[in-house]
Amino acid sequence: MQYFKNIYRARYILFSLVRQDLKNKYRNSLLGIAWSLLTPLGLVTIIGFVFSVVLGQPIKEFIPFLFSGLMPWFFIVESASGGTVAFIVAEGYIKQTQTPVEIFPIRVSLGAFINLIYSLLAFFIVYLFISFEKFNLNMFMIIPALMIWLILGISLSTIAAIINTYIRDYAHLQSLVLQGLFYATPIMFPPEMLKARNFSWIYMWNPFYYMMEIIRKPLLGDKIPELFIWIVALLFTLILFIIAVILMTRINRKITFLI
Amino acid sequence: MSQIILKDIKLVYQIKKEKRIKDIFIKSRHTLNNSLLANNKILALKNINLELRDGDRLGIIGHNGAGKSSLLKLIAGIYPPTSGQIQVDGRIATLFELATGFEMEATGWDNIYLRGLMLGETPDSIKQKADEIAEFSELGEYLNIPVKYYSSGMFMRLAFSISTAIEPDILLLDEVVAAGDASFLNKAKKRMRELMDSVKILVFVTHDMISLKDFCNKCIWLENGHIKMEGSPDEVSHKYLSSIGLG
Repeated sequence: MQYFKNIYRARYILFSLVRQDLKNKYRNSLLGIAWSLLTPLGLVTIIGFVFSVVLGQPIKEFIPFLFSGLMPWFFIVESASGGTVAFIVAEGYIKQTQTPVEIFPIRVSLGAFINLIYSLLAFFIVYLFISFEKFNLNMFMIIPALMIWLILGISLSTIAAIINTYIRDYAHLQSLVLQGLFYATPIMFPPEMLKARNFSWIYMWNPFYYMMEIIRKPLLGDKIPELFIWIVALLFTLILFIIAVILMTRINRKITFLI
Repeated sequence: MSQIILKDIKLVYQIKKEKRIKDIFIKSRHTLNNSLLANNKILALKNINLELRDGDRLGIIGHNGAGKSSLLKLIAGIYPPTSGQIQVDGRIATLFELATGFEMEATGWDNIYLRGLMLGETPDSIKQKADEIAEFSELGEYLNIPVKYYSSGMFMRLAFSISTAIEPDILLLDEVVAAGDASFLNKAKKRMRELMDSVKILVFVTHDMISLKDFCNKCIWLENGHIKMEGSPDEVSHKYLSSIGLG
């Protein structure tokens, strides 16, 4: 497969670009990389405070719940919206060198993935303090879940990069759709809330619900989701990935004319 | 052995015109009917057949917009051909539009590393060459700061130093690359000459008939995207100059 061969050929370039992106993000800031931990911590504290103090939700459960849903969701948003300009910002490289173009969307989601890992570290630090008793072996299922999530991120950013290079309206449309999905997917609220009101179809037909389940349950140390949920999440990811690979292979260097 | 083989190459640019909803309803006065431009397409190259092997030094001449740079970028693997076959064996170095393709927030050193990788070096080999590249660029302390603070001359010096350090088999050269101040220019010219002599295949786009005859042993004249004439640099440049009334 040309797609994988090209990525392998350009692996050093890919790693070097990702390293550069991470360096740039915290360049000239005093706390530097510490912000990767501080930002999610601060954010969840603020939202958690509002929901628990103002709206009266129990803080001990709500903060970890929110954390374990928001951070993966941010990864999706960062991959997809960063992906839209992946080729456009790489114009100089694409028009100057033979660098395989496949790597530029991957660069975006790999950077977002490293952020996700940092924020999950922050999560575990918090969780250790408030719910130490919930730590158990189920948590190791995070590893396969993260693998699936990484492939999802790469697929989303690749598809976004290709479509948006052709039709620049796509970036705007996508951010609207993502906003909608954010409220339609059980991220800030548990799925049971919809179920109680007979709205369960809203999440049953939403593939992101299944994605959420496979990462959130192991993160919280809850019971591992049943096999069916894993299969739906994996199938959804694979279908998107196949679309991404086919599009990328067919279009490849033709994007040079459009950026 | 290095070689470049082009068979029946056609290259059509898809261009993006600013298009809004209102354009669909209101016909612009400038709309060209039935022309390629109206379809957002430009025919850049057609019927290009070319075979270059070790020792060949090809000069490409022709008017602006004749397709010279497009042909270079096609050989470089930057533009994909719309139809036809292209086969290029050998390591390619390109020298054109030097000052783009940098990581602006990164230091000069990081950019040497990154661009080296993009030009086909491995992490180890580019690290070995980095000092030599740095020395040739004469950027000294400036290599430690982000390249966004560089002047255009400094960009060119850096890009030139990296591109010429990778020991290519094939050199694709667009015009005389003006790199930096007078003293650097001399050094750059000398290095370019060495490179032009040492590579296995040279493809050289130029408007300067003297350097054409100096460096090349083959020549093509491009006009409107096709090869109008092919032959020795003497013959072709003579015909070309007389066609524009300078012969």
